[in-house]
Amino acid sequence: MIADILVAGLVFGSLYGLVAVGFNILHRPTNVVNFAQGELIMIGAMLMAATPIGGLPWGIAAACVMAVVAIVTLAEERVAVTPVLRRSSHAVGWVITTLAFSLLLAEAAGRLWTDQPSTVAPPWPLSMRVEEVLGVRFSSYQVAVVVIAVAVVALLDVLDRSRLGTALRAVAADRDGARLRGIDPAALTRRSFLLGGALAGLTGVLAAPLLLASVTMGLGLLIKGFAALAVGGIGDNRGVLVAGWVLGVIEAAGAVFASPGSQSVVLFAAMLLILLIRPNGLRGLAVQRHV
Amino acid sequence: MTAQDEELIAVSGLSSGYGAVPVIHSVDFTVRTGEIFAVVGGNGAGKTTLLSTVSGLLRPTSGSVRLAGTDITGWSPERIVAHGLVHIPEGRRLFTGLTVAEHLRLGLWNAPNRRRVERERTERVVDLFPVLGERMDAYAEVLSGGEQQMLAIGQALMREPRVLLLDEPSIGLAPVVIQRVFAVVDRLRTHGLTVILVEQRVGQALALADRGLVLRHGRVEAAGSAAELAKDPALRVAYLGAAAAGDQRIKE
Repeated sequence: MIADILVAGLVFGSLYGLVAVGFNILHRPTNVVNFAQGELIMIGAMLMAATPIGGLPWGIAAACVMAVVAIVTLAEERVAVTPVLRRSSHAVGWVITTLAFSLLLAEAAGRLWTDQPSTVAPPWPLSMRVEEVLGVRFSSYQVAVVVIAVAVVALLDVLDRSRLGTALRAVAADRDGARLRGIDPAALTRRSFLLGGALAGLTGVLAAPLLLASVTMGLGLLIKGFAALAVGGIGDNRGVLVAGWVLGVIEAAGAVFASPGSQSVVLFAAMLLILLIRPNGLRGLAVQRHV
Repeated sequence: MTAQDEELIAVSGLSSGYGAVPVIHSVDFTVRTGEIFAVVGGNGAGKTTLLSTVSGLLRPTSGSVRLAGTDITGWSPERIVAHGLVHIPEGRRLFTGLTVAEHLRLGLWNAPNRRRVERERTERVVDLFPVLGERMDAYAEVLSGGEQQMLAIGQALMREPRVLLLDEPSIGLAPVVIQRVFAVVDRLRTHGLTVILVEQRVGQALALADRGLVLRHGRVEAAGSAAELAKDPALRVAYLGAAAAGDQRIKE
């Protein structure tokens, strides 16, 4: 039973971690937390579940979904983020504008698609069929999701040390200082939104077979991703993935040990407890490691 | 050579400020290729505002800035950097969490020839500041003030700019380190670099500079050769004040 909890925790935790990594990508050049992230992921899942894209070979379908969600995210940057930041880079108007964009997406999805949740099959040769190895039960698709989440974080680590990643860190540290070195924060912001949007699309594609794809799935992912962000530390991709796993395991344990249906309560209680003990989340540990 | 060629920077009628608050009023000056041009004046005289307007961080309310004959008024800072004018702001403004090596690489951000010249330029900067070569993997925030200033200058030199705007390079540094920084600025001039130097250490700045201007309440109070400015007794008493007297005493 413990093994089942760990498997479920790691798999769903990987999704929460990926949501939070998406927050990080968009936050870096803008200091904005994108409240539309959950609905962007929902769009990704629904494109797989309810449009002809889902019928394409999986690799092509995933690429199409990532491209479409990336473009929607860039549109969000154009209408809901950059105009607000142009007025004042310290204002918090983006809270309302990204939330408004989120509601627009949810509303549009509600009109386009039925609110009947639909199942999406995992891509061949992966399946949801549960295997048992040494007493641990898991499916090949579950393994793939965890591996992909780790690979995404590892890839972003590499990107972080590239020239582009260095420039992004410079913009995050001192926007005007970066401009004086010839770095255009607006251009980097656009690239970050494209990348973060593509990741949201990928997260939706990955989530579709695990969760039922539905037009209402966005809010739960947003909030759990936000919990992973708070616990893992904003800006720290490894931290938020680990935090996603921790919260995923706690949630799975809650479903088993408390009553089923109360797992969200257990998850958020655990998040509050962790933040009470470590106000900076797990991140304090990471910072000490760096210095 | 025409006057246009000789005047690398031509600022005319430049007024600017923060929001609705005007700080500098109708400032005129020109800087010739290869000169060190000092901008001196007391606290709040508008020196930093002047530099920030030239480098594009602030938009002028009126007037113009020309760089090598091109009108760069109202350009974005990143475009002005690409055009060969680099502004090292007060306090260095290095990036927390970036190493020395990463700072130097960023110095070539968007430079068209960066792949070809990166190694050679890095070597040249390390020749100029050997301490940077020893601390390539150190984070900027753990460097000493002097090392940070050298990194800021080294980063700017990666791009081989035509003009360097240096805002208070001496701030927070020990006197012996200041001497070293000023010696480097002096050496850069022999490589054909043009420098606009903002300094509170008026005596030292004027000793280094070819020409300069005195800013007071956002207006040009006096302008001319550095030697004339340093000698002007009225200026010394009225505007350069204790700082100049103090610098003089140190020299003697």
